Parts: sequence; structure tokens; C-alpha cells
Amino acid sequence: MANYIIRRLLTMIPTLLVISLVVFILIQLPPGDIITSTLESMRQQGMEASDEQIEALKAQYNLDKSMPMQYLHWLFNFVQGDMGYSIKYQQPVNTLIWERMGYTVIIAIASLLFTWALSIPIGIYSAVRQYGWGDYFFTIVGLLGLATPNFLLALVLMYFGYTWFGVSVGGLFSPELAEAPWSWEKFVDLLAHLWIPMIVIGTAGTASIIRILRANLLDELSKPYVTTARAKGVRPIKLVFKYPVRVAISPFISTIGWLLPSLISADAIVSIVLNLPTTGPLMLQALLSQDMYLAGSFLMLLSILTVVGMLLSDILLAIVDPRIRYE
Amino acid sequence: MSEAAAIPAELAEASSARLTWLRFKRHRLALWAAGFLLVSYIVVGLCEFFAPYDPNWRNPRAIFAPPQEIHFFDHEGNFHLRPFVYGYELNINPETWVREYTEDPSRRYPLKFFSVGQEYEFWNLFNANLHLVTVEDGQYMHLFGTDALGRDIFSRVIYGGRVSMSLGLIGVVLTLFLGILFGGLAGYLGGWVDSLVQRAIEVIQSIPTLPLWMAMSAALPPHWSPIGIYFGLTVILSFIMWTGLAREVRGRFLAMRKEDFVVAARLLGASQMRIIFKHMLPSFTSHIITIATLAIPGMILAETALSFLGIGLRPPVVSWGVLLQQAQNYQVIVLTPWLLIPGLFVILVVIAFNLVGDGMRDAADPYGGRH
Amino acid sequence: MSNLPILSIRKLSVEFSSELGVNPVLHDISFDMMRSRTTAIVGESGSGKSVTANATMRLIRSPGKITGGEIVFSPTAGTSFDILKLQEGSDEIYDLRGGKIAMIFQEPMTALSPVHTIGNQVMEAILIHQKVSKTEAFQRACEMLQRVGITQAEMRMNQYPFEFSGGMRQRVVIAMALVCQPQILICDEPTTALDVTVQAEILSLINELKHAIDTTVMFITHDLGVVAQVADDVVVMHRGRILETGTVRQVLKSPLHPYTQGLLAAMPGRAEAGQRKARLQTVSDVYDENEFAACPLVAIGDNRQVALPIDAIPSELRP
Repeated sequence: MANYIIRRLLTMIPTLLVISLVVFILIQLPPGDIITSTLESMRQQGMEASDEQIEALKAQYNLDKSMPMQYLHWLFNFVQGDMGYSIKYQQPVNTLIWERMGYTVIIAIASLLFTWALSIPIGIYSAVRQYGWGDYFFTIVGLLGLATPNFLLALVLMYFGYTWFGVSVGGLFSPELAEAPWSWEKFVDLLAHLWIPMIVIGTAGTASIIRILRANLLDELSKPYVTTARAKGVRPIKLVFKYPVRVAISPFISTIGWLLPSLISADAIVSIVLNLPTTGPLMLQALLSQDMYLAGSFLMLLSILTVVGMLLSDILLAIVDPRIRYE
Repeated sequence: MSEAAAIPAELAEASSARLTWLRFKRHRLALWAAGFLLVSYIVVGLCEFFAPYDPNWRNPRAIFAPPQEIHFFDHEGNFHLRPFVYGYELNINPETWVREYTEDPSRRYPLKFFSVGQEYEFWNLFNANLHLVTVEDGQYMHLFGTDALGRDIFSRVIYGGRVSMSLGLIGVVLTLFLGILFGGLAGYLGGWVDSLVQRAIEVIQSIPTLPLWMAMSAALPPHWSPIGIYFGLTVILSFIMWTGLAREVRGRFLAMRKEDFVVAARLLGASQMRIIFKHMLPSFTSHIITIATLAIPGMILAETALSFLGIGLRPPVVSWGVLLQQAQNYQVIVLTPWLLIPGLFVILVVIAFNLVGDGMRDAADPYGGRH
Repeated sequence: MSNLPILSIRKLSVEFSSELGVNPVLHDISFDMMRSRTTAIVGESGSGKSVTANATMRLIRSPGKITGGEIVFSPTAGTSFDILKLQEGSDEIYDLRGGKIAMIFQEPMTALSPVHTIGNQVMEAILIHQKVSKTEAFQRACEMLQRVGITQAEMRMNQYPFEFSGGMRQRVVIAMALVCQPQILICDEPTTALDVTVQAEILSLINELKHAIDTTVMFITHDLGVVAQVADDVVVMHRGRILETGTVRQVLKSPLHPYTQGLLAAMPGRAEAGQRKARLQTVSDVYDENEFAACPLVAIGDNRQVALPIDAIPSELRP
């Protein structure tokens, strides 16, 4: 097992390196660079930069070096925890990013749990009662969930949250608590606001997971080992849970791998609609104002989050399915 | 329980394509969805004819006007064979200063079918002015209401459908090309090509899709023409979508190399080309078509999301995402809910594609399956 | 004792429905299984052998349906009950499955759950049917594994099926079936998926254990060679009907039904050296399927039946 984890950790490194290269290229893609935009803003304030100042700026941002060197510098700084400087906010990226990453992680995990809590029982039910009324009902609801753009669902839920509960549903905290230090009250307030993004983000994933689980289970239920177990006298509920669910859960756990990126994607857009203090809105602002160091850092961190999530799902998978450990 | 059911002779001799079609036909919902999509594509293909107005034409007498109802009976209760709409009567609410439109019974606008209306340039080819449905000059009809500039949402939904739905199709063709190319190369050549493609897929798949899309489409040069942005966006969407398909194709190629019928063909001396094109490809084209069908809704949703955020397609291009951009906050639902109508069409089309894809998946395996 | 059947199947009918219509797979079949004997059910695929076995275990599920008949089970001389009358989901059914009647399947590669240890799966059978502690169950499972010829049983208990060869897995399946000392053991083509040398080992293992724990065996196969090795009594099935029953000697030495004769003629290596034919016969060379279609079974002796019109039965055997 330890062997497996180490091997898996080692394969992560090249993946992350290539991702960092992709991100760096994306940062460089938009026309202009940090110097031109700095000069532009200086000019707007009626200042004119001297050649020395420009050279100094270039040296400060390593722009006087070749592209590969710039990449290495960026990567090296990133690994050390220095993610560069945001032009738009005139602050180091570090100070802008961490709290927002934290909320993104919280929302992603909450949505993941919500997705499972909803889709596992429904998936099992739909498979065991295939072609029953419940199966059809959940299929239809699932299709709707799959087809509704996240931001529309967010808008609709916001509306209902507003008319039915009278809460201001935007944001993660009530205005009076947003700046307050952490307390029990603030935590409860967070929970009261968390449910809308959780439902909205969880819905799309739920639909596809129900489908996957149902299909896997139907496959498993028709396999000989299930008949063997029935012939042994295992009762139906235990039969479903001990055997097929156990086997069907393996591909299910591997869904964390692709569920996480889609949850983070959904978080980005839903946060923009709901005005949540997560990575999404700030990244959008960064992109719209071509603040590429900030945007690139977000992209890189979100990718790292995903890769780590995939690693965790692989490890879980190896725990559940003995065959993988021995490969 | 392996007892084979007696299979009627006509089924036993049917070709694989025919069996697929027979099985697909049994999925009533999938059939309906396919019909719906066909009609939709015809409508958006000929949208100049089906839309009563140019999408950018403004009606100064109707700003944020709600949808008009189609009537057969007028306010006196008289029946009219020709359906009609009523003109708007504008009142400003004296307390809230909100515009409120009501029906004005004195202005009855009968609908005219297959009749002359606004002039348009059909597919940039020739000028015409025939419309499926329109009203007399000087009258107006807004079946889905109007937006902040008085533009007809009905017409804009149809024109927007042309962009959004065609983007899905073109994107999927590109995705298919990339997916089959790389997946096929990886599965067929194996070795270092396979490892390389696999790693590339892994890398792309471990970057969260939407942020990556956002970053890439933000990098599209802002001075590009709308058409350029449209194709740029299509390329960006396909650039990420091909990975799933390539995985599938690769897996199939690898699995199929060991299948008995492929081994048998090889032992009989069939050439590589013959094995690939005669034996391997036909046996999984149906799967590929299915996956492609299921990928189209993803494209449409992605376009919608990016345009909604303002980093996908931009006005003056009309797409469903661009239309939904006007619904940025929930006050819209209270004040002008008809601005969400494009969203309804997104949902309908996406569901239809999913149903067709599911039906095809079940039908693709003519002999197997327990359904 | 031996002339009292332990299992008596009477007019059992099963249907499978599909979108193409209802498809009857068993037509009114009747036969007896005698205590402590091995009854082989022989037939080609699709003849209804496995359905008969599954019906006995009440394992038939939708779209299959038992439409009539009875299966009377007499666990002891005095008691008997109809398996088909047991309430679905009742304790009696679960008691029966794996407890009084156990089953071995054709595919040892897939008959075991890939994600549970061997020990877990064998112990489960014990824990369901006997009130014993886990340690006790572990002990018994180990013993059983040793009895079916698995060495280092204690270590093997913690291994997964993918660490076992096909023959070894079938031994595990046998251990799992016999660990509760069932009164009837149903073997559904237990050797079909194994290679010939392993086949012989498994057959003798089943035979040996059958005597050791004194159980009755229903042995399903399409292989007449296997029948000759293991069976005491034989039931010949074709297209959901029984064509002939009798002792192994009666059926193999003096078959009455043309289909049985056809089956025997189609066996390689039966023709004597002098009269070796150029081509092996097929069943249809000898037997015209439509000739005696749907002919009812006629009892012509003690547990000897044949589905032929009276005038087609040799006169000395007519009832």
C-alpha cells in the first residue's frame, strides 16, 4: 500500500509540471504584459516613466530574461509560495488568494458530500427497482438537473430563498457578520448560507452519478457471484449492500477524480451569480482585466486541488478494491 | 437462464444498422427528442424566415414588455378565425415608477402567415421578406416579450439558437476529429505515442474545465471579429472535450485488438487496413456517435456559461448565452421573468440531446443488453 | 430408505417473457431424486436444465416465472413440504438456500465476489445458517477448505479470488456449498469451464464429499462422459421437456428415446474400432425433432419414464 501511494505521488510531479507550463503559457497569451499595463495606468495618472524606470520594472518582473528563464523564475517562486503581484489590486497575489481558496474548498467538499448523500441512495434504489415509478421519476429529475445551467438554477433558488425565507441569499455570510471574527454565531450563519451553493453545485454532479451508479449496479446485479450469494441464502438487503454496491462503489470512488474538477468549475460560475467570496468571481475579474498573474495562480492552485483530489480518490480506490494494489 | 428466446426470422437476418434503428425506435422518448431536435435545427437553420424580426431591431414602443397572448376571441367575445394579439398600453406606476404594460383592446393586431414582413438577407445570399408569421406594418407582436432595448425575444431566441446549436455541432465534429485521431493513434500504435497521449489527456483533465475555459477564452484577442471569436470559442471547447472521446477510442482499440473476430481476421491474412476499416471501426462507430451526441449538450452548456460570464461570445452576436447575460441577478425573475425564456430552450435542447444519446446507447448494442 | 424420493418434482412449468412474447422454457416436467444418489440432468443448452435447478432453489427472477407444478422436498423421512409454496422472502426460503440445498455454479472465475476474501465468503455461509461465533466459523471454514484440497488454508482464507486459479476457485465454491452440510447439492455444470485434468479432479472431489457427508446430488451437464462417471440416475431433457429418465445403466446402455440414442451416437469414441465411421454423427442425423414433439411422459417402471407414444415403446416394456 505504501509502495502504491509513493508511486502514485511520484507520477503527480510530472503532471503538475506540465500543468504549470500550460498555465504559464496562458498567462503569456494575452497581448501586452505587466509593464505595458503599468505604464498605461501611470500615463492615465499623468506620469511619464523614464527609460531607467522601465528597465527597473522589467528587471523586477524578470521580463528582461528569456521566456524559459521567466517560466523557471515563475515556477521557482510559485513553489516557494510567492505567486507574484496583482496589478489590478496592487497587492501580492498571496494576500488575495488564500481565504478565497479556503471557501472554495469548503464549498466543493460540502457539495461533494451533498452529491453523495443524495445520489447513493437514489442510485441504489433506481437499480434495484429498475423501471419502477421511482426510477422514472428520478431519471426525469436527474435529466432536468443535468440540463439546467448552474447559473439559472442559482438564480431560481435565490429567488425562492428570497421570497420564502426572506434571507439575503447572496454571499456566504450575513452583512453584519461578514467582517466579524470567527464565532459560533458566524459558523451557523455560514451554514445558513451554504445550502444554496451546495444544492446548486451538487445537482449537476448528482444526476450523472446516479446514472453511473445505477448502470454499474445493474451490471453487477446480473453477475454470477450475486447468484452465488443468493444461493447461499444471503438476504436481499445485505445482498445488495455487501456485494454489488461494494463492487459498484469502486468506479464510483474514481468519480471523485472527475467530480472534483466539475465541482470547482460549477463553484466558479455559481459564486459569480451568488456573489460568494470564493475563487470564481476574483478569477473572472482578474481575467477580464488581464491581471494574468492572479488568474494564473488561481488556475494553478485549482489544478493542484484537483490533482490532490484525484490522488485521494485513487488511494481510496486501492483500499476498497484489492485488485488495484497488486497491479 | 441462458435460454435463447426464439427470434423471428426477419430480426435474425436484419443488418446491424437496421437492428440498431429498430431498437432505437422502441425508445419512444428518444424518438420524440430526435424529432424535436430535427425541427429545431430546421427552424434555426431557416431562422430568417421563422423569426418575425431582425434580432437587433428595436421597438421603441415596447421596452421590457411582457409576452403577448395569442387570442381567438376579442374582448367582446367575438370569435376570429385569424388569431391576433393586442397592442400594449403603457402605464407608469405613479408610486414605484415601474413601467407596466397591459393589453389595449382597441388595438387588435391579426397574425399573418406566410406573409411579407421585414426585409432580411437570407444566409447573406439574397434579400427576401417572406416570414412564417408576422403582423401588418406599424403593428407589432412580441410572443416572448422584449428586452431593455425593445428587441423581440422570440426572434432573438431563434437567432440565438442558430449560433448556440451550430456551435455545439461544429465543436463536436472537431472533438470527434481530435478524439479519434489521438485516441486511435494511441490505441493503435501503443508504445511511447500511447504514453504521450495518455499523459496529455491526464494533464488536460486535471485542470478544472470552466476556469481553464475562462482563462483560454479571456486570452482570445478582443479585436477579433465575431466570427473569429465564434470559431475561437469552438476550438477552445473542443480542445478540452476531445480527451474523453480519445480515452474511449483508445480503450476500444486496445480491447478490440484482442477480440476473437479481429484475431480471426488477422489469422485469415486480412491486411491491417482491412482489419481497421472493415472490422474494428464499424463495430464501434455506434458508440462513437453516441458519445458525440452526449457531448453536444456539454458544448451548448459551456457556451451558455461562458457567454453568461461575458467571456464567451459577445454582442452583437446573438446566442442563448448572450441572451441570458441580461438575467444576471434574481430581480429579473421578479420584474422581467421572460428574459429567462432562452434558458428554457437551453434546457429543452440539452435534455433532447441526452435522451437521443441514451436511446442510441441502448440501441448501439443490437444483440446484447437486457432491456 | 432409498426408494423414498428426497426431492419430487411434479408438473413444473416455467415461462420467460420478453418483448417478443411469452416463451415457455419448462413444460410440465416431473421426476424424482432418490436420497443419497446422484441424479444427472443431461441436455443441450437451452433444454431447461439450469432453469430446473434454479427453480428448485427458488432463484428464478423476473422476467422468468414459475407458472405451475410442485417441488416436494422431504428433508427427513417423516416431513415434506412444497418448495414452491414457500412465501417469497420468508425465513424458510433463506434457510433452504445454502442451508438444506446448496449449489455450485459453472463459472468459478466469476462465481466469487472479487472484492471479498475467500474466508469472508466461506464464513458467510456458516454465519447465515448456523449459530456459531466468528472464531468457530473461521475454524470450520478452514477445515472445509482443507477437505476440498486447499493447502495452507489458514493463509488462503485472507486471499482474494484473483489470487486463485480456476480449479482452486471451484474448490472454494464447493467448500462454500458444502460447509453447511446440505441435504441436496446442485451442481450446475461445475466442470464445463475447467480444463480436462482439473475436471477429473473436481468430479472425484464431488463424489468423495458426497459420500463423506451423505448428501444427494443433482448434477447438471451436457457431457455424457461425465454422466457415466458420476450419475446413478439420469434425466434427459430437450427443449424444456423430459424425454427419458432411468438409471444410468438403463439410459446409457438401452436408451429408448430416439433423441437419447442420437446423443449417444454423437459421442466421439463410442463406435468400436472396426465400425469407425468417416464422420461423427450429429443428433439430428438420428432424431427428427418434430417426430415425437410434445409426447407425454409414460412411466414404464420404477422411476423409468420415456416420452414416446405407447406403440413406439418395445412391447415388453409397456406398462
